[in-house]
Amino acid sequence: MRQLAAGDLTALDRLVRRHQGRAQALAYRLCGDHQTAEDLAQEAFLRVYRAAGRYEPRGAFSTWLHRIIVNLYLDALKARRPAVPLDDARNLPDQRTGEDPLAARERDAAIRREIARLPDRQRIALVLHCYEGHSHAEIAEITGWSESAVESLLTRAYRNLRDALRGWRDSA
Amino acid sequence: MAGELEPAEQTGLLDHLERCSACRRHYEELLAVRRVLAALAWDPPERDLVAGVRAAALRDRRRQGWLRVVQAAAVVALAAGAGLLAGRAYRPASALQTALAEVSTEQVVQAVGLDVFDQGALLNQLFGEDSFEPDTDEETPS
Repeated sequence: MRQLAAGDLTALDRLVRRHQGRAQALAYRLCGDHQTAEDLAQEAFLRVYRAAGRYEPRGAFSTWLHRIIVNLYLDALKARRPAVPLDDARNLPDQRTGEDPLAARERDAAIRREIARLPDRQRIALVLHCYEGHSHAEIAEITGWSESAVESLLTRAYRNLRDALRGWRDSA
Repeated sequence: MAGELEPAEQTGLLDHLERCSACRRHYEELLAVRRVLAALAWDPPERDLVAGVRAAALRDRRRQGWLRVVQAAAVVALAAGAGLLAGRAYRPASALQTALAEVSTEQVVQAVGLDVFDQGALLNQLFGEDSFEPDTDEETPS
């Protein structure tokens, strides 16, 4: 980050190369659209470049990057409703073995649909917790919400998904 | 909940789950949902962003450079403007301005020779009838 703050663009290249996979994954899980996810991730790295001089290494860099992505996503939500394709999985090759591929795709489509239906804050908390592996405290740091608010959002998100995915639970 | 509870709290929770069937059922349902969610195959984009981010950063750097030039020019223009205003404010009055300030209107009228005319008649002639009315507060000679 010191090299980046000094304007070294090769340091930016290295940073992007190292974190772009996870950044695009988080953005995609939040918005559900490939193009939007790429744009969010690219803009997040540009924000990192601009703010490199002000960066204070208090926590993990990935936590900071995730905070930028979540903030950009929240800004995008304010501007417009992001596209949420409900049946992306239909065109994907299924690489899991020992499972009916058609049933797996249907289940994945159902899970995506139900995650997309969650209220925005519940979806953000769920993605950060369930798929990014962040603790409650880290989610609170990333989002700026209180820990108790995060716990409440996660409880509601899991309860909503428990009810919505009741039929799919036993097939997992 | 892994990682969210202290070891003592976790032990207490597990003890409670063994005794309370309602909480145990709730907990097992939560675990089942987590299993379903974990089984989801995501297909996130895997585009190489390096070139795009670098190009955007270079554009940003150029824009910032131009912005600094414009800011510097604005500062210079402001400073020059402020200097000009300050110079005007403190410029001593010219000799003509000083002399004019000390001369009364009557002196000017006399110097130009207008005092020989009836000023009301002159104004009426120049700007039309009734454009000049003598002050009515003046005492009229009896």
